[in-house]
Amino acid sequence: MDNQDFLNAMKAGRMSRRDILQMLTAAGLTMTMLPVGRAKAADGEAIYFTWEGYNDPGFHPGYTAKHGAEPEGPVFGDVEEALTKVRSGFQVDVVHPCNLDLQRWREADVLQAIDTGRLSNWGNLFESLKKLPYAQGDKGEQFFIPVDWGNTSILYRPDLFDVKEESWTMLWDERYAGQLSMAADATESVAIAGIVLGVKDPFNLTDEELVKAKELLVKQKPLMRFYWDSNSAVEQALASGELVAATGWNSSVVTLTGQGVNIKYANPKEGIMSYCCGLVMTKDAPHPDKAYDLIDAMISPEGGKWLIEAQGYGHSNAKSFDLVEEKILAERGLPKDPTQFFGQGIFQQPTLNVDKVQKLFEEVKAGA
Amino acid sequence: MSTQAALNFPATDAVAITARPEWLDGFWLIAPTLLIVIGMMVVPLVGIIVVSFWTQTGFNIEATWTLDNYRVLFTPEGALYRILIVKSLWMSLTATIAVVLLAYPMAYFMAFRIERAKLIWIILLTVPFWTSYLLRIFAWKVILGFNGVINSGLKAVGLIDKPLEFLLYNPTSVTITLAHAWAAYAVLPIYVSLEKIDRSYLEAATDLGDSKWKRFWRITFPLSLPGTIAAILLVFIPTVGDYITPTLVGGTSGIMIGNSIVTQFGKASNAPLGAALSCIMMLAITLAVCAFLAAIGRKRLKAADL
Repeated sequence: MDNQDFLNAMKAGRMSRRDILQMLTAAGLTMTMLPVGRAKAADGEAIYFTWEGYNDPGFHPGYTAKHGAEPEGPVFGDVEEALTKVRSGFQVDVVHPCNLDLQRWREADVLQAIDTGRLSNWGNLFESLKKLPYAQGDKGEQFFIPVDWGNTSILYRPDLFDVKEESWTMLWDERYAGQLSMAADATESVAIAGIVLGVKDPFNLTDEELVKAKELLVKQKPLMRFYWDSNSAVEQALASGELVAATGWNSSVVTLTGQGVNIKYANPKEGIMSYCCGLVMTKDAPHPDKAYDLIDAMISPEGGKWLIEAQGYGHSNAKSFDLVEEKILAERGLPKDPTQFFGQGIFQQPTLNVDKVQKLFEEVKAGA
Repeated sequence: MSTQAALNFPATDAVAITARPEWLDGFWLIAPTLLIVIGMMVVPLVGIIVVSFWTQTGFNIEATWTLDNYRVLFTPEGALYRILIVKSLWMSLTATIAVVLLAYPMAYFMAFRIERAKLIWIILLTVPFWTSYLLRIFAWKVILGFNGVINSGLKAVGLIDKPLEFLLYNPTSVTITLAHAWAAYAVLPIYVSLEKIDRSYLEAATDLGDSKWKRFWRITFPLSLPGTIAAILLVFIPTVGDYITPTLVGGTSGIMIGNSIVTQFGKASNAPLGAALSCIMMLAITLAVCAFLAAIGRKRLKAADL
């Protein structure tokens, strides 16, 4: 029955209720099938699953030049959420976790080894970053391509916070009750408590140490304005003076300084906390060839230049530092070689007992 | 099929139709809806209930039946969930009371005081709801914030010289935000039930000497009960499970059970415990609603023609 027949039949009242229902069902079914058909038909670009703000074209200049289009960029709020999605069948090519999360991603068995021979920039990456724990498989196959590295430290307002000595204990300073904040991140918060306690391995506390860490976090809770869950939340609050000190990342220093806010990034006496994030490829990546192009573009010196200048983070490609002016590097507090830098501070390590740590932080937040 | 066939029904076909039981016709009519309800609501719900009796360590979900997830609630370890459940029920109860107290006068005004262009008023009421829920929460962040509308207003007037910190990031700000976010859901049912009231009852009451207040309590209010009850349920049930509002405006003290459930499914990778907490909340809400309806009394509901 074509459209005209259908309309005529309707007008003349010649359609039974069943005929109409039949037509509607057919129409409904067709509508539901449409998106499926389209997704299959389209060739599509590499799908890059990342943190908000990292899908900037500047970060992968080579990809756009080669394919004439941007990779698709779904974003996640935290990496555990990303892992849950990937495990439940969300199809992506490349994901952007950090070394701290690698163990979980490896255990989840969702990654495929990356043939580093296909990456033209591989040879210029810092050796120490290539061999981070869990980055390589038993046979030396590479699962993790390091890209960006940076710090977690304390952002504070020197005009509002009277600091005697830069230390992680600043986050427990009772003089500034209600004006402090930490990230709503269990592993990091517990690790910071561990650093303050002066334990041997803040990322893997013993049961006894966990009890003490919890006490410390419970003591800290009333001093907190909130636990932040987005960069912009902590930046706005610091800019307005609502917060005087909070944990934060390099990019916030760049953003806030750019806004003319008087902000300092602490170099705590116990050591600054550093991490490295990078790229992994999923087992059933729908566009593996394009995924290689994307990874190679992101570890290129040009991608690194963008990262250092726009976000203030370090890059894994040694050559990218040659493209950036010395002055800009100094402003961002970035050394040329991360190896020595990481040796001085506290490098984030995978936490083995994530469940316990999560539960502990939940209890702190719920106030029990 | 062609139009021709639809035109000339053969006699045998007609017989077949009349011979078919009537309920089957009805069944076919609701079948699409039924499928959607089963697929989108019943199956996931059963899934949640089933998972709540399983266990999970790391990535592995073990499908052996156990009551452990429910038992946790009665151990010292479960104290935090008990606290959160009670707190969530309390917070959304306060929000519900606030919403209904605000919504009733609005609905009353629309039903009894507006003579012309009621539609415009209804549209005006729903205008804020054309934006996303998230944006409305952010709006409250702007209003209550450190340099927000209220603080800078009070500062400009000279009432305060330091921003008030208690406005945001606590259970009260969560309640305020929830109350605003769900206001329209409360106004509309109350408005409808007020609109339905036969005005001649009110005239009769006035003729028989009732004062305005007495008339309201004896006629208007009881007759608007069905709408008010609907409003209470429409606000209470969804707000208990909210987790976005507490995340954004709750600060360190304003989190609710929804946040804990989200953590179980996401970060803590303990879906069975998350599922069990969801089931417990469903049960708690059902019990609370039943208790509430019982307290209102069946007779009254019947009289009000619910």
